[in-house]
Amino acid sequence: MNGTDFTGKRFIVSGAGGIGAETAKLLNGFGASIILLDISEDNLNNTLDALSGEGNKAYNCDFSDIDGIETVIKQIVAENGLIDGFIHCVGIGAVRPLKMSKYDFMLKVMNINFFSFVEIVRCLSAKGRYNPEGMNVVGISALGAYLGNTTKTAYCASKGAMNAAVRCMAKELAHKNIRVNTVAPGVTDTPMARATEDYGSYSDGYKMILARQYLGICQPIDIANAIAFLLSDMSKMITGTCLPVDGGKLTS
Amino acid sequence: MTNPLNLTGKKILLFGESSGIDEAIASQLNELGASVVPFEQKDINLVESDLKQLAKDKGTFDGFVFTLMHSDFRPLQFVKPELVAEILNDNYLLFVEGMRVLRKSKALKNGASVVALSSISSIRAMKAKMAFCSAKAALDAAVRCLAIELADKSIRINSIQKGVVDADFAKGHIKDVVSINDGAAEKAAPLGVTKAEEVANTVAFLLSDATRTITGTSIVIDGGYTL
Repeated sequence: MNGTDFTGKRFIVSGAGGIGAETAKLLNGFGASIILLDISEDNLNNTLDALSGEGNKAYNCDFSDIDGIETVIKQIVAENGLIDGFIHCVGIGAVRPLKMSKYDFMLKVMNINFFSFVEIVRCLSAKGRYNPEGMNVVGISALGAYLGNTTKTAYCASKGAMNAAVRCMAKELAHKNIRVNTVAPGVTDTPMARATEDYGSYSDGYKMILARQYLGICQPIDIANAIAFLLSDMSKMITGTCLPVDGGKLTS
Repeated sequence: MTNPLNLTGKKILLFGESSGIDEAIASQLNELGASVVPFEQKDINLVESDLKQLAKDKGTFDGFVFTLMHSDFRPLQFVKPELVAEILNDNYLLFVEGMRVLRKSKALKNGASVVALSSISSIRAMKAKMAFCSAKAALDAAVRCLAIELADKSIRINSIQKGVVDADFAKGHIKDVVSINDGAAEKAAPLGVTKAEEVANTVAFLLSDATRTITGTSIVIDGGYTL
């Protein structure tokens, strides 16, 4: 038996760039059909083009418009059938000093990084939308849920909120055979990180990262592999937790 | 208004060795009105007899502070059993033996507070300091367990997980003085290097009645290094 054989499974991947794109391709390679959600048509088209087999779809979704999410989820289930898993890769790596972090900014970050996640899980966990034999949810959290960094109050708070919500949802949804976990990537080579981190080779920033993240910069595939594990039955007794995939950063 | 950290009339046993941190702790506790009874013994077989004698001479204690800290930089291939045993002895076993003897000889008053000096090495990986990291993690685990066991006597037990402290430089805990002088330690800890007096303040805080319901926990004092 292959633990990550996802033949016949239907996964929703929100966020079709960076880690989301890599995850969609990996899961698709393991046999799953992928339903992509993103606000960017470019991300949707590029990633959809890279997928093979039947049943892969792309839907436009504005994650800052929480009230509009249920309509999209209903449409997805009506057009495709029951859902076996959901991976929330959407997120903005917002960087802003505290003195400029006003409520409207904080709310925008929370909407996209956190409230959209809870709303999608809420919609999917209704009867007739998820596979009653089991659904697995994985959120992309961040080490920021545990550590702190200057100008990242909104981002870290949104990821801390995600981890706390996952502990609660895991307990509440356990009787429906739904497991809920997160992964916390270290610095990962994605468009988001390239915009907010300095890790060009031999730069001071790169040396600072390596001092803690001593295995090096994560690649998106490293995060996708951990997600595949959490979606598979190999992890069927793991729920409500956060798996750091961080090259050693959190513990050093 | 009364000072919540007032330690007037409290007799505190200080199990350590002569170091900058010990001096700072003794001085701060004195300042706050406590009398400090120093105790030094690294031979674990002599702790029972020596400590019993001390308790006989000095009476029962309101607090017990354990400050022994023995770190070593050594790559794995040189970490022989004798070294591991020595590091465990100094950082952990002596604390457990001290607690056992104090308990057995009823030398800790009901309501006493115990503070063990640990390190952020207990919760973070440090290269070539494996034995020390393990020993302080063992110390923190012992603190949690003893806190439950002695709670019915209202005895509180906590630890302080310290980061880089200025007094460590003199002790040779930090061998790489050059890189420290380059400001690496300051960069790693956003608030900079902790002063021995600041560790002493946290010790006083945990010994005081202001923390009557804090037990079994560890306070990190590291200038933000672990963030």
